[in-house]
Amino acid sequence: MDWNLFTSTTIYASVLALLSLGITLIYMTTKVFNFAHPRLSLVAAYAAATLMAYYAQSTGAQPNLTPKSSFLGSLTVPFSWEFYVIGVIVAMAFGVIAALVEYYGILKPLQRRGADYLMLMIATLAYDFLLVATLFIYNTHVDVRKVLARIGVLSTKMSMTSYDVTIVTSGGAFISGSFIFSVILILLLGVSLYLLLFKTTLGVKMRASVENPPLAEVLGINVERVYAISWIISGLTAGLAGYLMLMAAGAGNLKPISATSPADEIVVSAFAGSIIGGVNSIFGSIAGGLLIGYIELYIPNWLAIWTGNAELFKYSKVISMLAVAITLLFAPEGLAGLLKGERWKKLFGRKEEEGVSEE
Amino acid sequence: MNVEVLLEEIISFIGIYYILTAGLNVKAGMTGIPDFGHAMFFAVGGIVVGNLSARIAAAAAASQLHVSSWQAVKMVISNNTELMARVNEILPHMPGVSIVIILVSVIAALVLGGLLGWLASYPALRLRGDYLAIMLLAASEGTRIFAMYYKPLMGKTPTVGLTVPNAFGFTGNAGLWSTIFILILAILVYIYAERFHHSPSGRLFRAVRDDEASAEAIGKDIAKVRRDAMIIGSAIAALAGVAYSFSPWIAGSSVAAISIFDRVLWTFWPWALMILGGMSSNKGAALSSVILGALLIGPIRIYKNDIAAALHVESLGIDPGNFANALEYILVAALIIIVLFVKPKGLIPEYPSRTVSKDEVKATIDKIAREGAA
Repeated sequence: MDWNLFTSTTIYASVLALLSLGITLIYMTTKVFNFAHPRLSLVAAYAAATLMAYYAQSTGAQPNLTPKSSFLGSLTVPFSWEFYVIGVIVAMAFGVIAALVEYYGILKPLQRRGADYLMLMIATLAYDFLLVATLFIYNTHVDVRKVLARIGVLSTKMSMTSYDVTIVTSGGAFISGSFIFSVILILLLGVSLYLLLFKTTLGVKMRASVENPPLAEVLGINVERVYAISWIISGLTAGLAGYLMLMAAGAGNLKPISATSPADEIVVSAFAGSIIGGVNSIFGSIAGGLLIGYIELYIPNWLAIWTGNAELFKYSKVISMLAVAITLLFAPEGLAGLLKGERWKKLFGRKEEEGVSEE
Repeated sequence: MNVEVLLEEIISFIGIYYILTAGLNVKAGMTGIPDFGHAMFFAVGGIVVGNLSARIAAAAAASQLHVSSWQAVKMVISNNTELMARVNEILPHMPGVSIVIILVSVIAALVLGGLLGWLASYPALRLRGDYLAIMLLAASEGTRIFAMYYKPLMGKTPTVGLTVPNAFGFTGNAGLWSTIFILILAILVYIYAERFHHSPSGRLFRAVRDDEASAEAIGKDIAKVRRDAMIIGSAIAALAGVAYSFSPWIAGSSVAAISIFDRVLWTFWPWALMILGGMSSNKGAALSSVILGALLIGPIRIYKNDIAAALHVESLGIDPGNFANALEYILVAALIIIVLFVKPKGLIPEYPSRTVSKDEVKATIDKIAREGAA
């Protein structure tokens, strides 16, 4: 077992899971596949990087790359903890802002005018173009370049991997902070979404509004607010994905951040995760995203070792496309449809809601 | 900037985008198949020109290169740049071969594009709406990645690709004649699409789009309609790929997987053009291609740096070059959003089919009346 492959794949899979979750949430509420979704992460990543660099500049902090010995092994913490907290919070905030602008600025007014799903899809593409243009202008702005250059980050090929917290254990294993962060994040996200959806009144309202909006409205549920909340959650997760992209550029199929990359490459994989999860299942989308992340890197890796042809690794993305095709043609309900056991029903959306209505 | 070149560039751009949008219109506009993998069919044209026509050119030029035809054909992939550089010196002196290459490319692209469309109609028969859109997008992305790294198909370097045979070299002015070639193709496609729009099958396609159940109830084969739409639309898209690949102004001297499969340029752009012109409106597609061709190639692509300089963006700390690149995106995005808000049916909304002329109807009525009297 290759430890480095495992950690980088885990980070990549977590990014995909976060994005797939956001795409699914938006699809469930607004009934549109949001093509701009991975771009929201780039916006968040740029905002986070700029403010992190600005913080480092204003406090005069210099990256401290000398490892300290701790009980885990030699530990490197380049900046103080505020640096990372600022990054996470700013990324989440800008993810939410970019998502809400999309919803309230473009999609909702269009829906009110009776636009069909094609027009909404095209509108998300147009919003994507606007964000690309904004990032094109932003990431070559003199001031942005200067601030980022001060901590040695290239604004058009952004990566903060060298400022990630790292631990080298006594056994020689290399553990990055973003690996630990992504694992905790996914677990926390799964648990908190479960609690939100199944243990709170808001969760009941959310599920009701997704299942049958007119009926939910009749029963006095503010469907609009529920939709806004799901857009906020998907903005938050997109922001967190952006932070992970920034701190772990190079992990898995992630490239350093520019106006186009890695969103352009990752968008189809994120959709694949959402579709494999069953499109209408929140937990299915997290599972689907993780699954896509792992198979996209592990299957070509095994094939490459098995055939001795390292070239095969380049085709890794073909696997997620095949996964989409197989899912849509043969199991359109995805993972959520495949796992129909009693216990699974409780966790994986759709089927379960039918059960509730029967009770 | 040379005015003649600018004009040729604009016309080529309009022609290629019109053909591409007309193909999409048959699929998405008329039949309601949301094809987000249009680039895949466009790429067929590039692959035909880069592979098939390059092989024909190499085989024809083999005797002058002092190798056997078979060796020359094999060298198309193994030694592409060098071989094609020499072939392109020889080819202008072979007008007959050049014309054969152009004709074979057009026919092969139509056949292969139709074939790929037929294959892609398998999901199109089983899925509907946004699921189908994602499915076709995934198919297109999958083929793109495959073509990018599969050396026998697109050469050793994905960004460089395969050198295009200089099929218009024999005319002495490749730029002008390739533009005329594109213009002829575009006019033929326009006439075909216009006739198709008014034809019984065109009306059937729209009937299936509007109400599948009732079309089926009156005995129409839905599966066949959707399959035919995929075949026709994809074949037209492949034709656009050939037009693109032969154009020294738009494609340059080579076709690369990275550029012919580009989903922004060859899937989303035609979508934007179709929405702008009006779904299922052939005249609208032509008009929006002309508008965007004149807008983008003219003022934006050529003068974008001048615009950036005129606005003094550098005084705000903005990089003028990147501002110029962003302008293109902003323009397209703004255009799409404005059209969606202000004119969601497009500039020229879908027009009714002209079936039988008034005089003909009158003549028939008269005839029936006369027969009745007699």
